[in-house]
Amino acid sequence: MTARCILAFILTIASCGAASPPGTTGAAASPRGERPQLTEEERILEVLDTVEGELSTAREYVESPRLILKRNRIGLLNLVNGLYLRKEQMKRLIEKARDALAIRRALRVVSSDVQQRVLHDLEVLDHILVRGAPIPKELEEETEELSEYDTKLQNLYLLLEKCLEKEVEGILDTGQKLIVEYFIPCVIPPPYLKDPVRAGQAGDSTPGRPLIRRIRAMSREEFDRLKKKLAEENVRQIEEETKLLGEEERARRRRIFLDTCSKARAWDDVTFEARISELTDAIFAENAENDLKNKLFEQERKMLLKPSKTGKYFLDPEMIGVLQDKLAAMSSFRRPERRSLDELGGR
Amino acid sequence: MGAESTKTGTASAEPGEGTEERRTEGSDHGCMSRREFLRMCTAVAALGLVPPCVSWALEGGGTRSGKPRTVVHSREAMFQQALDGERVKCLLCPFECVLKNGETGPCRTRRNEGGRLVTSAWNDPAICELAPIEKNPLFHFLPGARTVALGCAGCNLHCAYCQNWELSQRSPFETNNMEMSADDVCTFALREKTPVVTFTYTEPVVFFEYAEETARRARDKGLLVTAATASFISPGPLDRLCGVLDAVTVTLKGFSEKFYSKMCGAHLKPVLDAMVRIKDAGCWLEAANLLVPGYNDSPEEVGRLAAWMVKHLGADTPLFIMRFVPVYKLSNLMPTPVPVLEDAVKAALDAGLNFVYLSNVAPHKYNHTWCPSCGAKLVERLGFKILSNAITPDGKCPRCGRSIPGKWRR
Repeated sequence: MTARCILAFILTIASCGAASPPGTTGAAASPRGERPQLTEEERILEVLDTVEGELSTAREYVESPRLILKRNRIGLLNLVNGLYLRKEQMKRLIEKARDALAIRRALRVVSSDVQQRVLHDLEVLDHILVRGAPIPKELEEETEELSEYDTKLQNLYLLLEKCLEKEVEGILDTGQKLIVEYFIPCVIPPPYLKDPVRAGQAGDSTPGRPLIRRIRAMSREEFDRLKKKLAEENVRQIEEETKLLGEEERARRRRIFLDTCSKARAWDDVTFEARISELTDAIFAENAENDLKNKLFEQERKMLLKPSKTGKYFLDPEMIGVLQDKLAAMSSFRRPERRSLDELGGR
Repeated sequence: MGAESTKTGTASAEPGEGTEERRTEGSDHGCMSRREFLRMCTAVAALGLVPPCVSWALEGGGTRSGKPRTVVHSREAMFQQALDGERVKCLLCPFECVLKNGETGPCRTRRNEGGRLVTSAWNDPAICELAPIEKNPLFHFLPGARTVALGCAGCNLHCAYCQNWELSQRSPFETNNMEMSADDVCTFALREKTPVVTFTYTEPVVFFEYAEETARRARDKGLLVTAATASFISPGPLDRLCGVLDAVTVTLKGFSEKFYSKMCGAHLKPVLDAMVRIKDAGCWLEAANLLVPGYNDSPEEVGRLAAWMVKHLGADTPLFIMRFVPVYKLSNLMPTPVPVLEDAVKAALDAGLNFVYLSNVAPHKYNHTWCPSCGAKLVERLGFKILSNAITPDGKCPRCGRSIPGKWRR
């Protein structure tokens, strides 16, 4: 069953009240037939949902939702620019993003009664807690029941999004999917990258090279003096990213770091220049960290049905506007004007 | 003609002033996020490395010894003719420059020293790295193979849009070079188990002696040798070079004399003649045409170029339509729009070429190899990476059996 079919089913049950939470009689108005146009507030809320986890804590507190929204749109534009999507792909992707939006709105409608009742129960609970009175058994049971229902709705939503994700993946080519999976968003991508695959995204492992060169240039005494500190710092950085290093993994990381330093110091100039990226990858690059993070994320995703990167980017409601704008830009494309070679000097 | 080398100069900057970073690598242009920057600064500060390290790192690092290497070797140049008054004529390329004593040619590598032509592009590549062969670009020759890719500073063309101008528009005295003899290159390639040595990034013609020597030694050791060149070279030297090359990518700048003379400071006809000669010599040949927006990007011009290729080189000669990225003297232009590139690919296909690729744009369907007979996807690529290769060991389409030209297996 496709996500669209499931969506139609949800909309049906939402409209006839079949999915009403326990103890209620029906859901609110159906959004059936309505073109999913987001209000500004909804867009901000949706994007905040979508980009959750991507933002550093500081950014979440400091930046305004509008700024977050704009930053997200810029990242999506860079992604779309780097994928060289075809017109028909864009049109189909817009449909999928709209479906995702419609599902969210439908589920929001379905769950609105639940939320009202949860809010009511929490207000009662608030009152009880202020007075320090015992919690009535009925309230406890109802809260639990509503919570379970809410979880079921969430799972249903995630299941639907997984279906849509599959459909989005079916629209993209193999190469495009790979790029999405390893995409590193940034606001202004480096202007010139020799690897065309990285167009539209941030450069990788920038900080690694200077440090590895510094390590290579150190005197033996200096290196011996600093190597433990350097290894610890490297492990600390990885730990900061992944949060999940055990003692065994820490020891392994230290070993990798010191082995890599030894290689960097022992290799001749040519080998070093030719293979420096291997060294930086081993100890600094996102690759090593990302491998671990991706494995963990993949595991977590399977368990909790979290969206993949494809879903995260292409089912983001902001993507609708991004793709529409790109399509419009493609339609109004004009070839560059002819330039005169006489303006150039020649040899 | 002596092969002895002489070391003619070294720079003596102090540690901390070196700029060893290879500018052609993508990550050098990478943007550092605020988080990464803070993280690096914290780490560096915590380790007490701040004063020397930060400025040093920002400047691109240094070598093992902390000193930049601007080592330049020289040797007597091949293809020269002595003239009166200590003048000398260089016969390497069609310019046939006549140099007075002390003068250096516009290629920046060949100079007159006391009536004798010497080259300073000898055993001192400005870049040497392991790279995928697809980066040449070369798509029908050992797909997925790693190569030792090297190039010396200098070029006999002066393209206003040169994508490697930091190396090509400088002399070996102005770049940080490695000391690498032909034997060193071979030893390195064998140790790294790379089957191919490639002369690229700059113009092999201007380091002819070094390229030829390296190619000869490499072939003796069972390695294959390829080159990416503008092919602005005289017939004699070209024949000699073809004798030691297995595959060549010719960057055909445009298809008008005016474009060549105004944009590149060269001429079209010698390049076209050289392409035919390379083909006749039995080297595997691919061609690349970089489209500069507004200058050489019309489908008509690309169509004429492709039609010429069909007639003189054969319809199965691969052609790369390459995207221009604003650099050097044309940094004010925009990158070539993708629809313009797609139109050019279509024009080349319409002209009868069977294998036309889009380069510097990925992922794109024109990055892949498609069977011209049955339309099957034969080699799927993502940038320089091979995602799948369905071509049979004997070089045929597995679906219809059409022979796909190129060297697909060692």
